[in-house]
Amino acid sequence: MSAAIEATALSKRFRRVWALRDCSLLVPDGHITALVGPNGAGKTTLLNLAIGLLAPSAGVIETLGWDPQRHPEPVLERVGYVPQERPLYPDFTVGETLRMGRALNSRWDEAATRARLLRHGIPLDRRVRHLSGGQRAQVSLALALGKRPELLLLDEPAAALDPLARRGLLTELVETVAADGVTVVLSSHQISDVERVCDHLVILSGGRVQLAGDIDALRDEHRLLVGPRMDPAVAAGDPTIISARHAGRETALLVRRHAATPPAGWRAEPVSLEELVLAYLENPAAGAPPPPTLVEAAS
Amino acid sequence: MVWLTWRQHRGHAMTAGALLTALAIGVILCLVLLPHLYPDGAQRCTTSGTDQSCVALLPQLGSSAWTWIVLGGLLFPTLLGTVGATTISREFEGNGHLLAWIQGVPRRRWFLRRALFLSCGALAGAAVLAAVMQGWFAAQRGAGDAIWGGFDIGPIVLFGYTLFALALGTAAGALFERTSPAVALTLVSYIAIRVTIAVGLRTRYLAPLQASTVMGTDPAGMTGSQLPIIPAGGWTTGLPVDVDAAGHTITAAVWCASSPPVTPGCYPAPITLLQPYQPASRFWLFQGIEAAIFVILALALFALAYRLVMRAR
Amino acid sequence: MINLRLDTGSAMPAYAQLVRQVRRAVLRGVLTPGDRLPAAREVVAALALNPNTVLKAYAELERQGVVRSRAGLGTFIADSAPAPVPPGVQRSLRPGLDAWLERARAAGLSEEAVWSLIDSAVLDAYGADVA
Repeated sequence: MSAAIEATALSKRFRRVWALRDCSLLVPDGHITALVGPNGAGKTTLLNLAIGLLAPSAGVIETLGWDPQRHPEPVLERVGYVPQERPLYPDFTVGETLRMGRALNSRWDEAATRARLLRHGIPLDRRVRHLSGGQRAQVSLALALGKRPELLLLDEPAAALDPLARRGLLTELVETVAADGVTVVLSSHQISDVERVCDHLVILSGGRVQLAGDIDALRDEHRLLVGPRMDPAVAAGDPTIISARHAGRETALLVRRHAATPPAGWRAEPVSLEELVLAYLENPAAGAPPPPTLVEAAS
Repeated sequence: MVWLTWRQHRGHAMTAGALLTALAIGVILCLVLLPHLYPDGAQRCTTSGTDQSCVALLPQLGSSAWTWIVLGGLLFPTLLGTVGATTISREFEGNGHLLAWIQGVPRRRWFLRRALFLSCGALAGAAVLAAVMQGWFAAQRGAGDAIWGGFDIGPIVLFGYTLFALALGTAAGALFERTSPAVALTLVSYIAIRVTIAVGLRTRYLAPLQASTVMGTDPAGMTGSQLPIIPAGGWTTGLPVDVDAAGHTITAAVWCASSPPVTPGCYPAPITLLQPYQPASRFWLFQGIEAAIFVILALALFALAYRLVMRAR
Repeated sequence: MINLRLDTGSAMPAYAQLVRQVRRAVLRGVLTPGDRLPAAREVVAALALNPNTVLKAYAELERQGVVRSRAGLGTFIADSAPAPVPPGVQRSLRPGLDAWLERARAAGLSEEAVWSLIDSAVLDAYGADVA
């Protein structure tokens, strides 16, 4: 398995603020990877660095094996990007928007793109400014997919969409992945979407990578240990304890790399993805695993 | 990218085309109407004096048409400046955010091609405008029409102004990344720089010639007919200056009326009055110099815009 | 055919939920050997699921011997799939269950409390497999 995006000690600074600090991560080929984290954590910055809109302040990023700064053309040819704003020219018609895609990209599948929009009932002669939010999202996605990319980057693709439009967009996405095998990276706040659509996860918090890996494997490595109330200070000192909640007579610890059987008097329960993500986000000191290798990413 | 550039600037092109067409139609109408109204020709009208309405109307028609034409000539480059500003600021702002730059065309190619297409369009428009202006001039030029009066809408400088305005707008758009401040800066700087060069620099492109009158009488008693005479079509570029016999400038020409001199600080004859001017023959050279200045500025501004756009943020 | 669902926010991974739903359907007799499961792409489209998840579920079902995939034809319930609870076993276990439930109801337990008791008991007996 190869890496769609590989970052090594990647850092990006805007004036005084570090948006990303010493990030090392691997986005594997052939998977749908979620970028999760609070606002300002650096998700958009990371995507912009991957597509070459920004240059790193320090460190290295490679997209499909190329440095996006030194080789913008092969990267742009093979990577589709839908930024958060879902940019489109408002007074263009949908048809003119497609034509622009055809004009600017060396590889373009007009027939498939039209079929895609037809499936969603989006007329080609309507001006973009008269489309609904969900339709604009579909057009933006179609525009990015029209060049038949190897990698697709989506910045909060389902944000501000009503439930029907959101489901429509995600369905379109997974159907395309099933049919064409595109590698996808999407940033999202909706853990339920992530759970449904993604099989790989990167948690970005405060400009750093807290956790990264296959979702099922990560969930397997973590457990919620429930047992008798323990001293909070003891819990705080243990690095394998990601979060500790004490209530009444019980303490619940979210731990990583637990022993096969829990200690006496404790029971181990599996965690939901949301519990896992929240525990890491609430504990900025947790995480920062050693830089992943391809072998780890493949497991 | 040709189609995309056209489609994005379709509105601008239509507006410019409409303006130029209106201007051209106006000029053609004037040129066609005037011979009909005054078959004996404009010369006849101004010199004959018999037809009072003709005498009154013609200059009026001429001057109001003149105003509109000058306005058109001044407006055209500023429109180009706006085009330049919005082209880039749109890519950064709101919905067009970097759209072209995340499709298959890298920024460098996008910028160079866009600048090239817009420049060609701008120069083509300037050519039409210049042709219209020259048509008007050729029909209207009569004795005493100062060629220098039409310097700002002369056929050569128009190309320079147009390219300059476009480049200025492009640089402003790249600097601010937002349309409103970019357009505002473009208009303000365009006016400021044009005025500065026109007022401050234009007179100095070449050392002016001097027309002179030697004064044998008290300069205080001098009448207008004794002022130096500028050849026809010349452009006075400054105030007249008094110089003494050795050529030094005198600030207050007090002529020593009697000998020995009675008034202290007076100057003996001869005192010469010098009037600097630029002759009509230099008009085209000056057009070329000013156009070259603005083209160089334009290239520098395009280079600045390129660097701003390529600088990875 | 079967309608599959996904419970997001559950502590059970998505692929495991699909596996369990198919197994339960087989145990209930809704699916019998020879029945065809929906194609992976159909499940992906219907649930907006990651394709790898569906493939993983189908692979796990095949590993467990519940299904068999035939190239080009689809995925079918295998003969080795767990048989539904035989009526005989049902007949012998059910009265004990009914009696226990009667006692629980007499003790004033709500349905919710009953389920909580059963969950703990299953957990203790079969290990961590909470829905």
